[in-house]
Formats: sequence, C-alpha cells, structure tokens
Amino acid sequence: MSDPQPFLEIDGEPYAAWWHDRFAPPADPFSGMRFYRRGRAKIWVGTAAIEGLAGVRVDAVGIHLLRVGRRLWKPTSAAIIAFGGDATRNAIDLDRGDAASFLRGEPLLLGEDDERRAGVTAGFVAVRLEGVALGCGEWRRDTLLSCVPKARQGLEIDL
Amino acid sequence: MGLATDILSRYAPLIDDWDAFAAACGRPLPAVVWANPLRFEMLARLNRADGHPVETGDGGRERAAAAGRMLAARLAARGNGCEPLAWLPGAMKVSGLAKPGNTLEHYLGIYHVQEEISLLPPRVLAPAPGERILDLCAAPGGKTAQLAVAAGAAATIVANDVRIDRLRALRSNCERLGLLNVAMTAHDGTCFPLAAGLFDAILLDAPCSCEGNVRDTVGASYELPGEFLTGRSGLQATLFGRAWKLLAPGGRLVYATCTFAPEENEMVLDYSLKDGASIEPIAIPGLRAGPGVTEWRGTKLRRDCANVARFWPHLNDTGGFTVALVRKESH
Repeated sequence: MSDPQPFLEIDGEPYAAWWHDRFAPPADPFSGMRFYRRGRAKIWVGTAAIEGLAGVRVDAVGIHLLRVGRRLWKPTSAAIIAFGGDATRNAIDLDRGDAASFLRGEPLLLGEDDERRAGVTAGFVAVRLEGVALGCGEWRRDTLLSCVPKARQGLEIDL
Repeated sequence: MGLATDILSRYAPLIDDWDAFAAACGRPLPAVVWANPLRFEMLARLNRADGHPVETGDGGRERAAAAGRMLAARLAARGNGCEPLAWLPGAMKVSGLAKPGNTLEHYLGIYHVQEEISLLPPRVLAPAPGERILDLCAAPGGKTAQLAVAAGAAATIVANDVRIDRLRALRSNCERLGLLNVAMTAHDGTCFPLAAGLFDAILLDAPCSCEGNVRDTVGASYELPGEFLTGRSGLQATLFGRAWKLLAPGGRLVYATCTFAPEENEMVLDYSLKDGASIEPIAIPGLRAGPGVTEWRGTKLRRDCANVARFWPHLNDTGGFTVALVRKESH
C-alpha cells in the first residue's frame, strides 16, 4: 500500500532560518538533524533515516515542527517544547497560575504595560514556565492564545 | 481472583511456588515510571528553579540514572515515595501518585509510566548506537521510547502498528517524549513491506492473551476468559515469520508476550525456527526468571526453548512476561 502523502527528506535551511529569526536561540537546536516534508505544508524534524522506507506507509518521523503554506508559519507545541526553551525572542514567561490557564487552553490578556510582552511581535510564541517551554501560543492584539492541542487541554495538569 | 487462578492453574506444573504465584496475582501492581534522559536539561532547569538537586549526568547509563535521581527528588518533594529499580537505571516504583498522567512532568515528557516487567524486552534487545531497529507491534510506544533513547541519535527506530487508535497513542507518546530517531509506520505486521530492507534488531512484542496482566485487573471489571483460547498462536507465528524475513543475518530478535501460555511462546518459536537460529540465554542482574518450557502437554520442543525467560509475577513482584532472545546466524 503506498501512501498518498509520503515523507520526503528536504533541505531544512529555510525552516531552521525561520526558527532562528523568530526565536533567536543562542545555539542551533537543529544541529545534525534532518528535515522532512509531508504534503505541501507539514515540516518535520528528526534524526531518523528514511531512505529505505520508500515503499512503506510512514505516519510520522521525529517531531512535527511547522505548518507552512499559510501567511503565518505555525510551530507545533511539541516543537516548542523540544526546541523553544532557549528562545531569546518571542517568548512569554508565565507564573504557575497563568501557566495552568494556558495549559487549559484559556486566552490571557496582557496589558500594554505588562513586562511579559516586551519585544514580542504578533505571531506564534514560545510560552514558558521556570525557563521550560510549555507549548505554542499566538500573540495577537494584547492577547496570548493557547495553541496547546485540544486533547491535552482537558488533562487538568497539576502544577 | 477465583476465576483467574482456575484458568492459570494449567501452568501449575511450570511454577516453582504456586501459593506465592496465586498471592502475587491477587495484589495490585505498583506504579512504575522511568525518567526520560532526552529531557535531562529540562528536568535540571525545573529542579534548579524549585530548589531540588541538579546533576550533570555524564555518559549514557549514568545520564539515565542521574535523570532518575532528579525526578525522584521532585516526586519526593511532592510527598510521593520513590524506590529505584535495581536492574534499570532511571526507573522507579512510585507510591502516592494518584494520577501519574496528569502532572507537569508527564505532560513535558520528563517521565513515562510503564509496568515494570514490560520495561524488560528493550533491555534484552540491547540496542547499539547506529543500528536500524524495527518495533513491529509498537503501540502504545513505551518500549519504542526505551529503544529510541538507548540507541541514540545515529540509530533509526521504525515503530509500526496496524490499528488507527493504537497508532494515535503511539504518536502521542513519541511526540510527548521528544523522540527524534523514530519513524512511525502503519502496516499490518504480518505483511510489513519487505521493501523496507533488513534490520539489525527487531522487537516483536506480540499481541497475546495477556494472562500476565492479571494483576492489572485486580479490582477491575475485566476478567480473563474462562478458558485458555488458542486463537492467537497462528497470528503470532505469522508475525514471527515476517519479522524473521526482515532480520539481517547475525541480527537479534526479541520475541515477547505478556502471557504465560507455552502455546503463545515456546511453541510459536518451536514452530517458526529452523536451522540457522538460536535462542540465547537471558540474564539480567537483579531480576529472577524461571526457565523456558521444552515439553508441554506431550509435545517435545526445541532444546534451546529452555533459554526462554519466564518472568512469573511472584518472582520480582511484577506483572507476567515471557521473553526470548533469538539470534540469526550470519552467512
């Protein structure tokens, strides 16, 4: 059975460059990794060798990094957790109470004088607690929207 | 418990201490978690922020053990009891953790919840750096994750499962644990494409009648069927046949089930293995095992079936597992 949307190994430079531009990590989090594309818009990153899997129905390789193709490229929460902890730009650090709301999927209003939004530009951001990335958020018109997958928002995570 | 011991009594001739076995089957299982060394930096960062011990963790096995100590410190500070597993660095029994899947640490992939004895098959397969490894019936992915962590970034783990709902669980666990060296595939294991080429090592954690999970069901509504059902053996042999074709000469295959029945373990191996294969002894310091079965209900089996390791629940206070390490001769 062949897959209608196979994974193809691709040159990851544009996607790594986008990540560096958006999050400015002090070191390259993708050093030594491979990039893969599925369909038109899904970019994955990992170290697995898939050359030998041409006739195999592949469902996932490594971590789903980005959805591209629309106006804004959107990182997944799994990618932010894996690679977003060291972001020096477009990261929002929350306290436990706000982090719990974020994990439940609730939006958070940050007023104009709130230090936590300093330097953050509209688009997708790394949301952190104690320097550890919790997932992807979207910063839009004074509001931090949670992009934590719906299935995980109902977990009632004990912080 | 009455029904379970009735059906399990067919194994009485294989068990050294029936009373201890029956008593163990009636006790609930301790919760076990293992710390994910891929989240070492994250764990260190959280511990630093919260004033818990922070380690450096140089080297592979030491890193796993160090991650385990940092995790244990966090859990203990929250009032949980932690007892490290002597035979597996980084893994521990945890008491008092009512919902182990609802903590921040679980959400972040810092640990995985897995029954103690089900941690064994990847340890027996002993992945080496750079190997190409197939996990043929991989969901929900705990063993896949162990293989991925142990084999390192230069290895590739192909984790396969056939059922959509189980693939979803596999993908969710792989993502949560941050596994970069895993490719997930969705095939019926009995006809996994030979075009995938050969693998250095294969884990076949076969679907089975799950008798070894009897302790999971203490106090639950699930019960073992009233009699032993033979229907799984054919599927297991077909899966084994496919796995054998995918195994490189000189390669290793671990065949494991969470069931006691010789029909699903030694007899599958006896039926499937011809010349050019040997079942090798398994010795894990800190774990006791019973010998494999070489004769069952009048049928004599391959002599090396004695090397199959049977982990009865009372031997290590775990669930039940039967594990075989098979090597293909190099030609």
